[in-house]
Amino acid sequence: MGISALQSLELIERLHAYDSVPPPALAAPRASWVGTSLGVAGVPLLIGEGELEEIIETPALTTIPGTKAWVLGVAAFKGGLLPIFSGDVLFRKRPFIGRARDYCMVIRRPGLYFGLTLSHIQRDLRFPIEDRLVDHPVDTDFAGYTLGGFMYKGEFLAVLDIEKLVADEELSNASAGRVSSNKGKGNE
Amino acid sequence: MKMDVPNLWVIGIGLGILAGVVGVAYALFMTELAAGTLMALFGAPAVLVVALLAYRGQRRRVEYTEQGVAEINSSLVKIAEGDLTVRVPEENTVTRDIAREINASTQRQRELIRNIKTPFKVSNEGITKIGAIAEGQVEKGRELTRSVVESTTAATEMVRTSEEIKKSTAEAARTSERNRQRVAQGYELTKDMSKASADVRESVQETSKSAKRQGELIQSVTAAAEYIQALNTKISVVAINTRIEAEKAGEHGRPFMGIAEAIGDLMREAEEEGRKIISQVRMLQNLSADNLASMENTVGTVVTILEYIDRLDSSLEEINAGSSAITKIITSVDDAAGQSATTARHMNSSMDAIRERNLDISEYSESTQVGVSSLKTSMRDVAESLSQFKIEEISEVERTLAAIEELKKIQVARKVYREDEMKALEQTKVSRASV
Repeated sequence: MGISALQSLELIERLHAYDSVPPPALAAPRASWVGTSLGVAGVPLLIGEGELEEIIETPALTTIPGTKAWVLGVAAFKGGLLPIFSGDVLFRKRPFIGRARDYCMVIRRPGLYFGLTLSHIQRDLRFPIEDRLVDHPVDTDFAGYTLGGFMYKGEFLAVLDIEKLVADEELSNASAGRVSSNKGKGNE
Repeated sequence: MKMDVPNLWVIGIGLGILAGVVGVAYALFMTELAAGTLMALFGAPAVLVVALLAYRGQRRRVEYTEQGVAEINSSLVKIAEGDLTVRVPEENTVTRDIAREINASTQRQRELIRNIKTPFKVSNEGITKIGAIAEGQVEKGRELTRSVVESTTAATEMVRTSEEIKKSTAEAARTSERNRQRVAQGYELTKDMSKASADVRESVQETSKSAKRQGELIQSVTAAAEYIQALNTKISVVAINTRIEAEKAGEHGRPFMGIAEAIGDLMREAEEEGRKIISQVRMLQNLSADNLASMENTVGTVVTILEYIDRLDSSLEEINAGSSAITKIITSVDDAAGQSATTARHMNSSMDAIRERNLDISEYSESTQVGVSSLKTSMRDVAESLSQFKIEEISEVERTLAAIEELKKIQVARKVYREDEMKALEQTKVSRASV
């Protein structure tokens, strides 16, 4: 006469108890860092979750005289005006010669609402929080605006700190002052 | 005049007789004697004296005659020994005529011998010259024989060399013919290579056209891939914005959050594949460009090969012409070698004839030399015989000088050949060679 399934299960439980095999422990939920992988002026960066308003295609621009070189112009966007800044000129201090930047990220902060051109866009990424590297060397032009980063497929992705960026005095004043320059605006 | 002892006796006897006659005459004057006694006393001694005187005279005449005969005999003995310089004294009246005749005879003999000696000396000198000339002829003949032998050897060597030249030219002609055939084969090969290169060029050009078409297709695929990549980017943007909006929506946006994350996951895979496609398409494009460049290089190389083939063809034609010229030269050299061999054979035959004639001349010269030697021996014997006739008085100094002159006439032998050498020279056969 054979044993039933319940009897077999009980037998297995007894055998495990006899062998003192501990039950598999459940892994503790790990804290993750979520952000969007994109690039500014060719430098791969991460923007943290909630830092971005949205990503849009670079709209048609109207140049604004008397502004700094990184101010490409102002575009009509969702019933309002959206200033578009050049990420290349803002960080590299020189215009990008090549294919036009097709996308820009929209950042909204109290008192600041602008779009910054992007060199490329990847996707949203999720990293374990403990994998964050804070002492990895970063491109010198971005070193003042980053806050560590993560390694992804052998490449270091620095986390762009929007708060540091918007706190920069250079960004807070778009006026060119006495010396007006249109340098770089024609290429964007 | 010197008197000998018998004459003194005769004088003494005469003086005694004269003293007796004087004594008898004195005694007669002093004494008277009969006439008969006186006659006897005086007549007998007178007769005796006369008889003595007659005997003495006869005796003296005989001695005188014997003296002349002795002188003649002495002279005849010397003449018989060959001394014709002897002169028989002619003071003896008895033998004066005989002495004169003998002297005249010796005088005539001297003149005769002198007359013989002078032409004999000239003949001897002439024979000596003939002997020297004959000896020189023999020597010249031997030298000529040696020269002929050397010339014959040289001619034989020339014939052998000509034969070797002919062999070499025959081998060279065969080699040249082989070269010509190989050049002809090379000529055909260049034609085949030219045709094959032209085919390769046409094929490569066709392939190049296909490669260009392939490049265009790859370009369109690349454009499509880039378009897909751009769509992926747009979808990524949509997914990012969806997630942002879902976050803004709070609890109500959670489904959209899941959708955005699902789209993001799909986009990750699509983006990776798209990136691979673009990378591979770009690699394909690069490979196509490389292939196109390689084919263009191949076409250029084929064109260069065709140029080389043209040059090779020209070179082969020149080599062919050169081979024909070399063949003609070899033929002319072969003919010249044949003519040279024929000439050498003729020369060899002529040398043989010269050698035989020279041997005959040498034999004649040797016979002449032998005859001259024999004649010289005979002349020497005759000279010795004639020299036994002393016809002139010569001093010792002249005799010595004459001996020295005779010694000077002795010639030094030029070269003395041994018997085996002479036989080797005479028996040297000219080796003949045939072509």
